[in-house]
Amino acid sequence: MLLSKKEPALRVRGLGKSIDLGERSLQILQGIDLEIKQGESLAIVGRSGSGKTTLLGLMAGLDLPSEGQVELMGESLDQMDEDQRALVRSKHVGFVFQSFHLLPGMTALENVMLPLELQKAEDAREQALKLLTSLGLAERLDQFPPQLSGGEQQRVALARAVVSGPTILFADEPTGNLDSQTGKEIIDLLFEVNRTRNTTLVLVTHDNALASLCERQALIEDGCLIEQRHQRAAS
Amino acid sequence: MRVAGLSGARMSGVSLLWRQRRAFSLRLLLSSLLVAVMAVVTIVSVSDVLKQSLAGASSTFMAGDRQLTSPREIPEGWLDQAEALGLRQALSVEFTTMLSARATEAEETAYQLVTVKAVDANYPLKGELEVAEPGGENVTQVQGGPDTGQVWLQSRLFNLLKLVPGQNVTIGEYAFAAGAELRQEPDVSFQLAGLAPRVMISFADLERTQVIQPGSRVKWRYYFAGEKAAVEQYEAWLKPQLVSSQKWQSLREGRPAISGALAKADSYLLLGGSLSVLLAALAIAISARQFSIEQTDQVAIIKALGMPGHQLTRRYCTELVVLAIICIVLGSILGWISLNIWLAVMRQQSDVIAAGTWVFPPLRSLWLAVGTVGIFLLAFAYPQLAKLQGTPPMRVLRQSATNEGGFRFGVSLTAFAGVLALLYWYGRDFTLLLILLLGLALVFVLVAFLHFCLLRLVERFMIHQMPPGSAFKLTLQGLLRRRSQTVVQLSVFTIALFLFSALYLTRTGLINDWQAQLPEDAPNHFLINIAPDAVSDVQKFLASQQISTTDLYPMVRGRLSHINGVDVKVAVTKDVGALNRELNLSWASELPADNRIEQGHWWDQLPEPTDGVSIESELAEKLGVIVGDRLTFAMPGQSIDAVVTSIRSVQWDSMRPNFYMMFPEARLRDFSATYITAFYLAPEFKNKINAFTRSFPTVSVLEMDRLIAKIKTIVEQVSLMVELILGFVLLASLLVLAALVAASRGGRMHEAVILRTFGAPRNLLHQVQLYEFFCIGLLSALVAVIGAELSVYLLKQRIFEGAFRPALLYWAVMPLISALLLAWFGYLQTRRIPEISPMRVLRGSE
Repeated sequence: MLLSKKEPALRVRGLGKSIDLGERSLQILQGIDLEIKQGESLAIVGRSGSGKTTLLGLMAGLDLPSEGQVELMGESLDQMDEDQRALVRSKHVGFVFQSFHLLPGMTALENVMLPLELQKAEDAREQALKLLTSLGLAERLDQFPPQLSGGEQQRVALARAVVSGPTILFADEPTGNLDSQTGKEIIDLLFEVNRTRNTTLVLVTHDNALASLCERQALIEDGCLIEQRHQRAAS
Repeated sequence: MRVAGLSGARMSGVSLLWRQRRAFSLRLLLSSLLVAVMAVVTIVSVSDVLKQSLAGASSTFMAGDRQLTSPREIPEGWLDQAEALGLRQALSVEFTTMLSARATEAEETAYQLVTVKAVDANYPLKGELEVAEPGGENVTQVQGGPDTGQVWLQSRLFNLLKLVPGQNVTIGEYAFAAGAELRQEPDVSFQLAGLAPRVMISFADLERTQVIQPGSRVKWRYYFAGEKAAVEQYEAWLKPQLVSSQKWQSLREGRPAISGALAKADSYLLLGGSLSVLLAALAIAISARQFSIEQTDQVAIIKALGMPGHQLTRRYCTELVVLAIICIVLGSILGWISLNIWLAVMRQQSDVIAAGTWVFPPLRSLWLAVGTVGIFLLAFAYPQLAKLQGTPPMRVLRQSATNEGGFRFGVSLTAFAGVLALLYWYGRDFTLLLILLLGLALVFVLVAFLHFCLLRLVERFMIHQMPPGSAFKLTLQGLLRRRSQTVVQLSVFTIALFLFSALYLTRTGLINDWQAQLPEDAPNHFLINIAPDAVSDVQKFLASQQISTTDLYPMVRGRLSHINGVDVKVAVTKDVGALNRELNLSWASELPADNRIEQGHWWDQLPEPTDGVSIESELAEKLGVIVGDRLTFAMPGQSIDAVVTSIRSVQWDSMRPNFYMMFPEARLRDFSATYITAFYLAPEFKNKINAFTRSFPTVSVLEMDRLIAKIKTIVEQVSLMVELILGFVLLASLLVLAALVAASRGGRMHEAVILRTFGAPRNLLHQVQLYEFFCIGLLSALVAVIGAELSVYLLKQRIFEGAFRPALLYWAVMPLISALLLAWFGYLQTRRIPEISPMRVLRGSE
């Protein structure tokens, strides 16, 4: 489903998450309201333990909230079971992780083919090959993740995240494990995808420089959304 | 740097073990060791108890634990030595002579050739000597022979000589008073050569008969009984001093039918025991490696915090020692319990196992348990944990930093040598061990080859044909992706299934063979010396009593005198018992049911069979006779020549009449023959024997029912034992399975969580897991069955000496069961993996 630039790709209302610890419960998130438009870029920032990653997981449908609603591309995730949410993820969502999470037994090409194969795409190999080549990894197709550098691994992970043409790309500290130069290259690629494919970009980061590249920043503190700042449009 | 809680030097192996108690790999390691100890203790103990009980019970058929047969008296010193070792002794002297009796003064003296047995007061040391009033029904068990001046006679003699109790009968120069009827001697043997009616006198009267003169053919039989160790010590002392005319008989030589069954059972026990120990070793190796991998991160942190490597090794060594002690103690207790449960089951089945309180495992089994645990931990666990010492502390910063210890040839060689030594110590059978290891090597090569082919085939032809994203394609992709892991899994599953299959197929074969040899209605009574003119009357009588017999076989007495024209005494230098006496030669137009032609042809396939002879294979081997050789037999009044036209194998323990030499009918028709037949008689119809002996006083009845009942009991006991062994092998196989699945669990979880993050439904992941285990189970079982059949074929040829028949049904059923079982078992262990929240990817805790 394609939405116009003005329609929200993701809508979060009254979102809360708590963990039952027996006699008491631990509130991790509460009362989060957030809307992200199609093609927009949002950085979720905050200190460690503030609840950023939990929020990202809930918005991506990896977990269910204790309260509130999450609407992803017009579909209400909080009413769905895990398999229904998995289907939504396979249609709309891409992920980039801090520690890449490539499957070690698969080559770079096979890792990128994976989401396409889950969608039963007939031309998974061709698409993955094309994308990796465009990312400058044509020579590394048959290499296994441990044989690749950190930057190469993250580029493969990025290719895997976008190869199926997701409408929303979630990135969790995408440059956290990379040196500054390699980190910059990955950031450029992320925003290129955001710009050229009109992919909504939601990223969690500690890096203020990276956060400042996003159109909007959401500051989380002690599980609450404290402030939303609008930046200049990403160049 | 010392850190609270990690001031490792003070942390004992016990507390380390306690902290790690929830680690699945450690639990598996513990379980595998426990099963190994339990298997060793139970199998060795049960085997010992069984052998002792059966040997004890069977020795009642030898009237002692051992017999020494000699043509003359043995030196006093030999008996003194037996006495010094605390052995009980008894003596009998056996010879054939004429017995004369005269019913009244008016009647003529009647003569009869008899076998006389003079026994001392200690006879029999074991078993039952039974007598009865002549013609009476009440049987009495007695110790020692008749009183001086008395003779006990078989009922046939009372009939033949028309004797009454108290009447005089003369043996040699001494007149005895006829006493009781001799009903049962424990050590009477099934030797058709010595079937003259038997009488028993006291040893004290032997000299008075003056029968024994220098040169007389006499058999002195000394019986010994006592503690096993003392008997064996005496045996070791005595045997080197024996001359060729003296025979030392243990159960093996004395009762080949019983000892044959015991020997097969023993081989099987050793095989089964070795296999379960080998499987447990496999499970231990896998779980120890997995445990070591799981410890790597913890070790890196502890080392980063400042603990030196050697201190770490010491800690893990202490942990291993504690683990070993726990396993030995707990495993032995479990083995002790399972031993007694098994004995209780056995006692319900038969009286062979003596009733009693709890039986303790023999010391040897406990030493074996200690050795097993020690060698396994040293061979498999220690190298893995010692490797941890080299874990770089850098790993706390960079996960890719690993211990570059690599493959240590020395360690692998030590492990292999250790297991080999253990298996040899356990089984003490080099042939068995060699066949086992060759079989394993063969399966490994086959698996590697098949895996290579499979990968090629799947990659080239299958994978591209499948719809993208289908569960089966993902399964095959996964198997191809994890090539090395797949090889290991396939090989190990194959080995486990191979061992199980080999044992199962041997067990089925063994039990079937035994049951085929001794069916419910196996003959247990023999009629011998049936005169040709009495044959039809005997048959009519038996038919009227509804007793069905085996075929009637004629017997003609003859001595083998020449082989290819050379005197046998010259042609054969070995001491072959069959050459020292007359043989029973027989004829038959059809090959007896339990005989098998090994070389040459039976009469029906020969153009001119009239001058042929078929010889039993073992005798042929001893005599060095082959097909085409000419044998000469000295018969009453003349000699006959015959060419060996076939060599037959004979089932001596089938309890059917069998013969060393068989001829075509035409060849022996002109000689006077007597007939032999055999039949089964249920215990409740035993009195029919009395009616028979009254009707046919000249026919000998050989009652083998007790011996056959005993052999049957042994077969039953051993079959139960086989089930026990199979149970242990199954348990060890399941442990291997669990260890392998556990070892791959981490990788599976990571993959499943990533796949779910990218939208793979749980159902798909469940399917992939199921298909993967199904495929591995199917392929492993196919290779395993092939390997197992080959090994069973070899085992049958070399050890069990049975006929090989491929188990076609097993070929079809086993792979399917294995695939389904593995899919189910794998599913049980991995079913929660697809349920793990994909949030773990974000948290970095997958």
